[in-house]
Amino acid sequence: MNKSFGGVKAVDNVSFNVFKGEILGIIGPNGSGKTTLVNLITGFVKADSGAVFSEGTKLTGLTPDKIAGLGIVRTFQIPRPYHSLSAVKNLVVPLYSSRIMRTIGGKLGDRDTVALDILEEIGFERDAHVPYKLASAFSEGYLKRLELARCLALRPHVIIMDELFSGLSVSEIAAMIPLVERLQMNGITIMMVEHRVRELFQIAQRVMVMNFGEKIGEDIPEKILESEIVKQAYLGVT
Amino acid sequence: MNIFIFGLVNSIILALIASGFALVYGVSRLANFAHGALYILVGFATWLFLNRLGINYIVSILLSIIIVSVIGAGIYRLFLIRVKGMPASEIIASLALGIAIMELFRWRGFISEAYMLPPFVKGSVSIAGVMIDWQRLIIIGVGLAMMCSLWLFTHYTKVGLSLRAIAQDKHASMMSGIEPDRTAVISLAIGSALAGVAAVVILPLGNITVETGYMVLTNAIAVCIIGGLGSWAGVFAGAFLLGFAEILTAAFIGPQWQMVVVLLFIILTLILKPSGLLGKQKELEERV
Amino acid sequence: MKNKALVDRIGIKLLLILSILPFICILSPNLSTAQSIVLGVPISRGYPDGVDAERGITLAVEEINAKGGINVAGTMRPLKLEISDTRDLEPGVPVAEALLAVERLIIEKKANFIVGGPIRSEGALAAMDVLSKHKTVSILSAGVLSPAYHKRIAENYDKYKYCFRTTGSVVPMIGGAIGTFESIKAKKGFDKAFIMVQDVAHARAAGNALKEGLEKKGWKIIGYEIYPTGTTDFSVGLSKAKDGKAQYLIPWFDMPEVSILMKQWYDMKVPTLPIGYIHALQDEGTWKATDGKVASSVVLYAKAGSVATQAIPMSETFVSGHKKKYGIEPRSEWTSTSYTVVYILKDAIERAKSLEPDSIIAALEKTDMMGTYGRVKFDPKSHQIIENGDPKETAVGMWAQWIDGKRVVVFPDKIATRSLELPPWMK
Repeated sequence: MNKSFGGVKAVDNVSFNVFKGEILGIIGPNGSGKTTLVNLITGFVKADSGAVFSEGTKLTGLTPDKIAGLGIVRTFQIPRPYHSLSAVKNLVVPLYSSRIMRTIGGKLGDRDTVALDILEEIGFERDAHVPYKLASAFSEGYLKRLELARCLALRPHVIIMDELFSGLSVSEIAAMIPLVERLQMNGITIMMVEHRVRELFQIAQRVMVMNFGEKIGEDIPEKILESEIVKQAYLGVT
Repeated sequence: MNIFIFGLVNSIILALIASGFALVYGVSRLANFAHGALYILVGFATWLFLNRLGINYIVSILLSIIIVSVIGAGIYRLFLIRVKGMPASEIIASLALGIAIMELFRWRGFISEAYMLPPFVKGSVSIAGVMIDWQRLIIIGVGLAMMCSLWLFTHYTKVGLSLRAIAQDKHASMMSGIEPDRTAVISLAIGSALAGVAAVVILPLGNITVETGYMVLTNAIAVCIIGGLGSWAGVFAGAFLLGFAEILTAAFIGPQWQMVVVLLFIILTLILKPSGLLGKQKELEERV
Repeated sequence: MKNKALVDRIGIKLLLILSILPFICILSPNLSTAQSIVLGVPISRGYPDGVDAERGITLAVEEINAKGGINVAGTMRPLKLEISDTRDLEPGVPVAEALLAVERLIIEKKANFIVGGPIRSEGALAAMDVLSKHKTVSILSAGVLSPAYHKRIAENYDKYKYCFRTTGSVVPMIGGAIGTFESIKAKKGFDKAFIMVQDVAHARAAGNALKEGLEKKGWKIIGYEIYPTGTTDFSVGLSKAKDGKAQYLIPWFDMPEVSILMKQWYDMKVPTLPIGYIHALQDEGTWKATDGKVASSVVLYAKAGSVATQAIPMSETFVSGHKKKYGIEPRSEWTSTSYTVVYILKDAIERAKSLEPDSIIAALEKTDMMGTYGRVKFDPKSHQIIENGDPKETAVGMWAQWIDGKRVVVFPDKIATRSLELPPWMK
């Protein structure tokens, strides 16, 4: 897969597989093309060449909403909630999407209740106050959870998490890790683009390393830590 | 009292005219320059149903509004969808369509003073010593009712919620599985229907001319620029500011200065707060 | 097989028709008469004014052709109309468009004469040079109220002698209007007026002249307001008129939105008599379209004739002819003037016995005939039609009041069919 921006190769001949039910970590220094890769998969930018397939369906060329409709969703590095909607309504939006209407349809019951369930699962207090606050009033930790919750509302089978841990404190990350693991247990395939390598390596089954738009390694976490080429690229970072 | 009542009427007229344009822009970031054409289209269509086909007034109105929302949706589905994401092309395409619609009416001979719609209720009443006709009171009523129902619609319905979501963050809402093309079609249908509602309540005040279409478009844009594109409260703030400014100018300076004052407000807004009174500056785009 | 038979049959029919066609052409009397006289009509067809003028001209041409045409030194020659859209009334269309239309009529359509427009003063004034360049005689019969037109002809006769005008000019119109207002003042004692004019050159000129003229006669001008074209709210001005106890509301507008003014006046029950140049209210359909809210409004027509009056016989035949052809009475003054203009030209051609510009000009300068708006005579120096209050002597304008759904002539006295009425809430 290739993508250039004005002569700079943001993603250069990167090819990889994600297997059903695994957690794949993607690491690399700033500007190594990780977010571009996410954008390519989810249809936000068009690939110069190459293609993405999900269980035989070609994703390349589809718009982000169609890709999301197929159950492949992402979180944004900087959370992008609907600021003037409450946390609950933030989830009601995807709960009314055509994917949900098509798959579960009317059997879902009251959307607000379903939204509260998801929020609770993801670590929101289930009281009369917190879920009804406007999204603009939440702290970074909550917003990251909200991002994740909004993805879950679409009942996805692949979630791509774009630096989910960035901007969070160590304890917040510690609280987040079991959440991610639970999602994996529920059968969701997860790709994590991360800077927080140590935390990532606790949960990822495999890790891919990128530098200057190229894939420079792909292996289990232990092997990656030992690899020379990765050490060079990451000198002093970890 | 005069100034208050007629200022209010004038402001609500502007708000009605601008709301459809603002809704489409707010939801789809699409400046629908065919707005004025759709407005007179409803006027002429209602007139035709009423006078040529002899259909009941209320039915004629409903029919025309339905037709115009279908046309509005069609404009997106058939034309604007091909140039989406290119604001200049969107403006050119919609303006071209608008001019085509308006000039089609001129060409077909819709150019007499006889094209007028009757008021809903005849006669006038005296309010605090000011004689005012029922139609203007109805405009105030419809204007307020429309604001309320739009608020209820966007806050309490499924479609309304998705419109708000996409208006707030297009990328995020795509990730929520909302299809931008579908919401754009819906927003154009609703926006056109709003233009239609405005047309049927306002046009009985005067007559339907092709030029009205151009004027409506200009006014809608003026209100939106001053109030802030894509902001609901801004539309009403802009409409009331302009509405009262026009009436006050007419009362204390002279009616020939009305347009100057409007332009002055636009220029001042663009200098002091380019995003409009209540508009938000665009947030930083996410790093790619 | 079936298809082939069908094709054969059509083929045979086609052949038959083709072979008969030349015979029809030879036998047809219409096609074998003398060469027709081409009337070029440059008007703005997308506007009521243009349509009104076109209707008047078409009606007159059809009448004349039905009687065999125009007698040019013994040969009967029919008229042929060439109408070209100048678009000069449309906003934002450059004057050059109108000039092109005029020139096209002369060069491509070989127009012998230009009648009708251009309708906007700006377009007509610019067209004068084109007419003189091609030495083509023109008689304006729609729009163009600017005094500059005949002033230019008088100042440079040799160059602009090809141009004639029957529509009117603000100066005599205001003179007539002030006379009318004075006669109402004498009867009712009203002397307080509120003037509202449109922000276009001729209306502002009229407004200023009116204000000055009335003040000189001792009137009180309560207010004088100028409205941009396209204004849709007049509440403030009307309130001022009401508070200032004005007895006359004098509007001077040619935009269609003026119907809003009249509706607002009616709905606010402003105790004033609306009387002025309210072009959009001239149409017979206005009453129905405004739900009768034009009641009591008095509307000036630059020329009489579009409402029938016994005092001018030709106006009666014209109005009934128009009703027969178009199903409605003439809408505005320009239908009457544009109808008469064809007859003026016919009269001049028959007296000149030629189509030569110079002899036509000489004949036109000596015109003395009855039209739909009284006696037609041109000032030989400025080529402006002469007008005053008596249809037996000169051309006349007309004031018609809306009473019970009809346009009734109330001024000038010589052609009036009824006397002026006040709005019910003024008594």
